[in-house]
Amino acid sequence: MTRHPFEDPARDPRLGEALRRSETPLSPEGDDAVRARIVWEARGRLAARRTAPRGRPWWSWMADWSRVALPMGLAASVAAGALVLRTPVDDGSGAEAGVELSLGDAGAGADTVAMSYVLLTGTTADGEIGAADHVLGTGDGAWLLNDPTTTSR
Amino acid sequence: MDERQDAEQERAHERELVLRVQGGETEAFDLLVRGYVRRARSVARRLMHDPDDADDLVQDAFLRALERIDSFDPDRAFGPWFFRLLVNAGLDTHRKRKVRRTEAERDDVASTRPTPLEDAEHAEIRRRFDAALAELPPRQRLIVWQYEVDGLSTEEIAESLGVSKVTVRWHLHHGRHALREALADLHH
Repeated sequence: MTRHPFEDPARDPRLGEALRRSETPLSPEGDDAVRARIVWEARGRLAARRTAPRGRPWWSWMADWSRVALPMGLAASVAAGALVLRTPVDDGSGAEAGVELSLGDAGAGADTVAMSYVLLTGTTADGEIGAADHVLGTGDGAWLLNDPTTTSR
Repeated sequence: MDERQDAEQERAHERELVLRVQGGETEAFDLLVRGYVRRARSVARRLMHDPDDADDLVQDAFLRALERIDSFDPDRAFGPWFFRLLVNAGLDTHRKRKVRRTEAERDDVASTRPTPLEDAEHAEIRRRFDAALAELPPRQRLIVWQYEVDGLSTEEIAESLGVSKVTVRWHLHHGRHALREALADLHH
């Protein structure tokens, strides 16, 4: 069985055993001695903490602000998204039309299916060859508004 | 479910200890040190190789942690923060002192003494292996140890040391290669 290149390499039991044997065992007495030394050395710093006035730590400001900032940010994002979707676009005919995205729009759904068919097969559902030209379209961008399932040659 | 509850209780207890240490309570600091001193000494020995240097490093790391405890968020686990601090302090010490590596004094360690069954060849392998181990860069030595002995994944090691997984793998590859050579030497 081959190993995946991103997998961790197999452990080497012989190497592990050699490392274990070279490790100096730690005694509880040694732990206690080190701990006592650390606490003794720290007593001055701890005493200073008890007497010094303490400011608020940075993370408590973060925690407080996140309660307000997160909902506000979310609301702003939703409002911005709604504005973008409702912005009028110029359709080239001189009249302004509102573009609205509607998930249950059957017409839009049918167009999407037809477009997918053209993209996949290069023909319309009726078998008309050359319909994929509608996908490439002309340079003026008008092809974006054409119906890809009809030919207009 | 019980394990999760235990872990949550432990975390809550540790959080309380950290808050008390932030307030300067000696007993809380003592308890916090007690909880981590064994593991800290173990990691420090792998990093420093010399037992006395290792214990000095543990002391230095705990005192540094105390100095910076206000910047630590008690809602997070203390261990990873502390061990990262300890490892960085150890690497700093190596850089500053350009540690003169000495042969580790192991006369007091029964498990590393050659047993009556160990012949001269085994003793020689042991000597060479220890020398190769001492020659490894400190971070590399720690990584090989954590991988081979503690059974941590490269991802876990990377997270605990604050380095990338690629870095861990690189060190692991080179460290294992050097140690395997030392082990294989006398088998030819």
